[in-house]
Amino acid sequence: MTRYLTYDVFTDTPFAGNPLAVIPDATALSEDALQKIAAEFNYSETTFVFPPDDPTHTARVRIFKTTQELPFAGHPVIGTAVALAGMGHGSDMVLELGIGPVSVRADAKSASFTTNTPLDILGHPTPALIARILNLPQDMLETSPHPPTIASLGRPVVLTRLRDRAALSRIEVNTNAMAEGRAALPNAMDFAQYTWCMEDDRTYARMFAPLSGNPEDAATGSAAATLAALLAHSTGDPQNFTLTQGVEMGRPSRITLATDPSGVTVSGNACRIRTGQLLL
Amino acid sequence: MTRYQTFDVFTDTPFGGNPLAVVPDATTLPEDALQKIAAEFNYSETTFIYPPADPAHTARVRIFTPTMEVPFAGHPTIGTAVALARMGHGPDMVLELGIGPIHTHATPDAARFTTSAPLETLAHPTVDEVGAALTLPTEQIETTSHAPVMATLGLPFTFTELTSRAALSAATPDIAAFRVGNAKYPGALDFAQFCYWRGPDAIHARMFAPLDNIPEDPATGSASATLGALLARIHGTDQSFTLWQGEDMGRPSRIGVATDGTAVTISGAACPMMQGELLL
Repeated sequence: MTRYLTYDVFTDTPFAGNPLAVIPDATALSEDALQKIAAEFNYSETTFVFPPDDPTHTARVRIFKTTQELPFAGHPVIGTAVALAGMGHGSDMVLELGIGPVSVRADAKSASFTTNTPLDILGHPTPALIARILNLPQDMLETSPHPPTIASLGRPVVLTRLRDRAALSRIEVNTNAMAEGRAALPNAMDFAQYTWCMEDDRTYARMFAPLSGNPEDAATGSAAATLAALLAHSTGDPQNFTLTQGVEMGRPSRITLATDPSGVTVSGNACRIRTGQLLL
Repeated sequence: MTRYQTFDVFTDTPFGGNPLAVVPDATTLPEDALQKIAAEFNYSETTFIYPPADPAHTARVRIFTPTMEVPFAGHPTIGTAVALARMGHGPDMVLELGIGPIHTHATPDAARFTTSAPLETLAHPTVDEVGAALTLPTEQIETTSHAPVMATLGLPFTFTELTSRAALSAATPDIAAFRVGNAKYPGALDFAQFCYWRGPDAIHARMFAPLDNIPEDPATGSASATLGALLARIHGTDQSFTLWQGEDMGRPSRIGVATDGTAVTISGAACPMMQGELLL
């Protein structure tokens, strides 16, 4: 019997945010079971917690999508840290992730981490291509403070600012156009589209990665951090804002971002939804 | 606390088949929680069990996809009947579904049910339309037995025979072409495509419904039943075959299909995977 927990991450309300499954003690699982279990949960990510390699750290955490292991992702770090806090760890923790040790602060309801990875700007797809991928008229795309940009803090995404929420809600992703983009600009990995807008001084976003099996994501911590870093880079000003994602898919989520010269801090809530056992 | 179980249906092997979540006693759940819970599980269907309206029956069962309630579906009926058998019911049961009472026979490992719903053919999408939806050249569509046909025993699918197993593996849904098909043939389950190849020992099939947020389904009992009824009508003789689905997505499924006149019996195994509580 393997115990698990699930959380809705980047929300304090059940049935919103981005679901995550956490296996709090994965030591007894065989290596090939990990990917299968992540596929069985069918969430954007599932995490597996192991004892740390370095005894001064809190835990080793492996993150799996339904199709592959990831060295890092935002919502799994927030959700796993909240799970560890619920098990008595914290509030300051060091999690050993695929990218190396990451410092996290967590309590039983929320967590935050800082990424110090430098921003990589990898290219600028044409607005015409992005308009075709999003199935929007090109005049709904903004080019200030940044034009469509492939950027990365470890996981490349294509970031595009749209005119308003009406444009955001009109997106119908064209996967064939996306595949063309991926072929032309292979450094953008799966050509995942992170679109955002500002309306009434609030920031809204949607994330689409159908080429890696995720038609739409309810809350994407890493892409939100990349947006904050890109805005700091484009405007020259430190950024401090809360972003709303997932509204159009009925799973509203809130991600808080703060930049300083050393990195981007991502914070959010997590809400426990399920407990149970795998009958293996 | 609401208890739940999950099963992999149409397989006897963990991590194969089509996952299903079952809430074995839904009597205390508020009505508006049902859809939210089904969305949270993120499986193609979740079922909720209630006491029967007619005391001579076994149970009332409601079936929800992540976005809506459906009156009937195959893999939820098989999986829920196996769950009821594990609770001490059966082997002969009557389940009260949205379409009315359904007779099922279930053990703790497998179940079967018979549908006598009349076969209706609704439309004949062209080979060009189907080829575009599946990203296949039209010469890989086999039309000797039948041209592509939209048919239903309650849930409409477009049925298309392909010329080879390789063509089946190559099929890739094109969302833009699905949108075109759905606009031309409205009200037909988002232009869901069920394509198959007649192998020497089994029928191999795949099902795509990307507009219903199902990029691919590992096991579709209702479509398998409709294919049985369709082939029985075309060939003028009863059909009995095993349908293999889900192989190309790494979730192998085995669906037993047998016709008797206009009745179709669907059979399959189910494998318990998880049990736990919703913390609501």
